[in-house]
Amino acid sequence: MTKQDFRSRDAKLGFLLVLPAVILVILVVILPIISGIQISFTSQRVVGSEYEFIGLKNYFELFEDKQFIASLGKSAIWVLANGFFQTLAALLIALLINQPFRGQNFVRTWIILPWAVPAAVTAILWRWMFDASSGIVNTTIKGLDLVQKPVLFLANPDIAGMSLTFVNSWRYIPFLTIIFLASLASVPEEEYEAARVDGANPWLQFKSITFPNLLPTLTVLGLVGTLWASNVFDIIWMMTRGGPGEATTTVPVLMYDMAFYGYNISKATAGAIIFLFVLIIFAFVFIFANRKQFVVASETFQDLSK
Amino acid sequence: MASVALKNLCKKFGQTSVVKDVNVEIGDGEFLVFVGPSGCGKTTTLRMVVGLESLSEGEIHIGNRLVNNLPPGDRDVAMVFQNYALYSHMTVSRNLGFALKARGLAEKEITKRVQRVAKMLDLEELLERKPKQLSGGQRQRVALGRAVVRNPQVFLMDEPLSNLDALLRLQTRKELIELTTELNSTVIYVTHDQVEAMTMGHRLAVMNKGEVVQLDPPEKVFNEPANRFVAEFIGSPPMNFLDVEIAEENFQKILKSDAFDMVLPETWYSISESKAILGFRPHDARLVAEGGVSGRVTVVETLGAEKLVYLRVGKNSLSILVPATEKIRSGDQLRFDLNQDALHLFNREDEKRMPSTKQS
Repeated sequence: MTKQDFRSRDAKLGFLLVLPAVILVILVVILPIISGIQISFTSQRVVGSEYEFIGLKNYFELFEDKQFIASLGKSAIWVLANGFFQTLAALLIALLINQPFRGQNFVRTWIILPWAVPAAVTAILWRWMFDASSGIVNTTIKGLDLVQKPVLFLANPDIAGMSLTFVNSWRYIPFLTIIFLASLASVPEEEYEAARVDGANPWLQFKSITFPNLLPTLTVLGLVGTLWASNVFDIIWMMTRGGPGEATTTVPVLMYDMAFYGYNISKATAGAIIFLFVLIIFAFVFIFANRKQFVVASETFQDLSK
Repeated sequence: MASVALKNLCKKFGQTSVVKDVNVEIGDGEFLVFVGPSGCGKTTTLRMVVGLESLSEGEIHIGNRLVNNLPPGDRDVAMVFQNYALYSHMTVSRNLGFALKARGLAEKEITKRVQRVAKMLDLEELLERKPKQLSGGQRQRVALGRAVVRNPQVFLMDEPLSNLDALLRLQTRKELIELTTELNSTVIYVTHDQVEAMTMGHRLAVMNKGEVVQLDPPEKVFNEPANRFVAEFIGSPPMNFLDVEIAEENFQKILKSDAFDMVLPETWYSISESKAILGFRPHDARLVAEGGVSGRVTVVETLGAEKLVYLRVGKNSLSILVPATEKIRSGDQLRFDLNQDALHLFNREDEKRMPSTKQS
C-alpha cells in the first residue's frame, strides 16, 4: 500500500469516528436553530397554533421594545459581573490551594461539590438561606449586629442581581478553580525556584511567571464563561423569576417569559435569534482579538493530553 | 566573590538522612566540584547552599554571613539549573535582566549589564528570542548569562552540561573554565561525571551515600583515592579490584591472589594486615612476553588509540589498556605486568586505603 492509501484510509476512519457527533450536533443544535429562525418569521403565539408568515415584523417590534433592550443591558451586566467575580475568586482560590498544606488532596477533590449540585437544589438552598425572617444569612448578620433590619437579598431590586451573581458564581467557581489548578500544575516548578534565587518577591513571581502561563487558559475561559453566563436561566428563574420587577430579567429569562407566559413564541424566538447573533459576533471578535492565546492554549491542551 | 563554609551540614527527609555531616570550606575564587553517583546527596547539598532546601542541622556561611535563615534571593548567590529553568514567557534579554529587575535596578543600568553579558557569551543576536526558539547550547549560555549578569558572591551549578550533546559539552566545559577563571569566581559545581569533575575542579568533594568521602585536588583523588568507592568512581575505565592475601617470605611482602603471586615494593612494608583488596588501573598494566600475570582474553573493546582488554585471571575478571596496534582476539592468552608504583591496597573490612610510605 502506498502512503497515499494509508492517508485516505485514515481520513475515512476519522470521518466515521466523528460522524455520530456530527449527527448529534445537526439534530440537537443546527435543526432547532433553523426551525427557530423559521418560527421567528411567523406570527405563531403558542406551540401548535395557527400562524402566518410575517417576515421581519417580530424583529422590528423587538428593536422598539424597551423591555427587550433593557434585558440586553441586564444580560451584559450579568455577564460582566459574573465573569469578573468568578474568574477572580476562582483564581485566588486556585492560587491558595495550590500551596502545599495538610489535606490538600481532600480539598482539591471536594471543592468540585457545588458544581455537582443540581441547579434546582442550589436555588432552593440559597432561597432558604437568604430568607428574610428565618434564613441563616440574615440571622447570622443580625446576630453579629451588622444590620438592624433583615436584608432582602432577593426582594430588594438593588441587591437581587448581586445575590444571584453570588449564587451563580458559587456554582461555577469550583469548576473554574479546577481548570486554573490544572493550568498552574503545568508551570515548571524550576522557573519559580530560579525566580526565588533571582530574588523575585511573590508578586513579581506571579506577574512574570504565573500570569503569563495562565493567560491562554484565562482567555479560553473568558470566551466559554461569557457564553455560559449569557445563557444562565435556571438559577435566575428559580430564585427571582427575573424580579423583583424586572431587576434580574436577562434575555433568556425575558424570552422564556414572553414565550410561555406572554403566549408569543414567535417573538420570543426572534429575540433568542438576535441574542444568538450577538453572541456569535462576540465570539468571533473575541477569538480574533486573542488568536495568539488560543493557539498557545490549543498547544497546551495537546501537551497535556500526551 | 566570597568564600563559603559548610559546617556539619545535615539533611533529613523524614527518617532518611540524605546529607550527613558535610564539612567543606570553599575558598574565595575556588572551583569546587561535588561529584558522586545519583542519589549521593550532592544536589541536595547545593540546594541547601542556595536556600531552596532547608537545613536539618549545621551552618552555611557565605563570606562572613551566616545564611541559614536567609531566603535564596538574599544570599547573593546565582544558580545554573540542570534544565536551565529559563523563564519561558520572557525573551532572552528579559531572562538575563530579571534578577536585576527584581533588585530594583534602573532600566538603563539593566540594559547596560545585559548588553555586556550578551557580548561576553555571544548572545547578542538572540536577545529578542524566547527560550523555545533556542538550541540546547544557546539555552545553556542564557542560563549561564543569567547567573553572570548578577555578579554574585558565589556561582552554584547543578549539572549544567548534562543536557548537551558530547561535542558541545566538551566545548562548553572549556568555555566555562575560561569564564570562571577570568571572573575569578567562587564556584560550587555538582556533577556525576567524573571527567567533568577532574577537568574543572580545583578540588573535588567526592560524595557517597550522603557523606563526603574525600576532599582533595583532582590529582590526589586520582592517585590516592581515600577508599575503594572513590578509586572505582574516579577514573575511566574504572580501576580493577581483586582480593589478595599478604604473606611474609624471606623478609619480603608477597601478594598472593588465587592466580598469581607478586612481590610488593618496599614502600608497603609498613602495613600489618594479612588480607587486602588490590586495586590497579587498566592503564597501569603492560604486556610482557614472559613472567607477570597470565590471563585469558574474554572481550576486546577498541577505543581508538587504545584497546580495552577484558581478561579472566583466576576467578577475577580484570581489564587492561593496551596500544591499539596490539593484535589481540578473545580467547588469546596474555601476560601482563603491573606498574609497581601505581598499586593501591584497600582494607577488606572498611575498604579504606592502606597508606604506603612513598606517599605523603
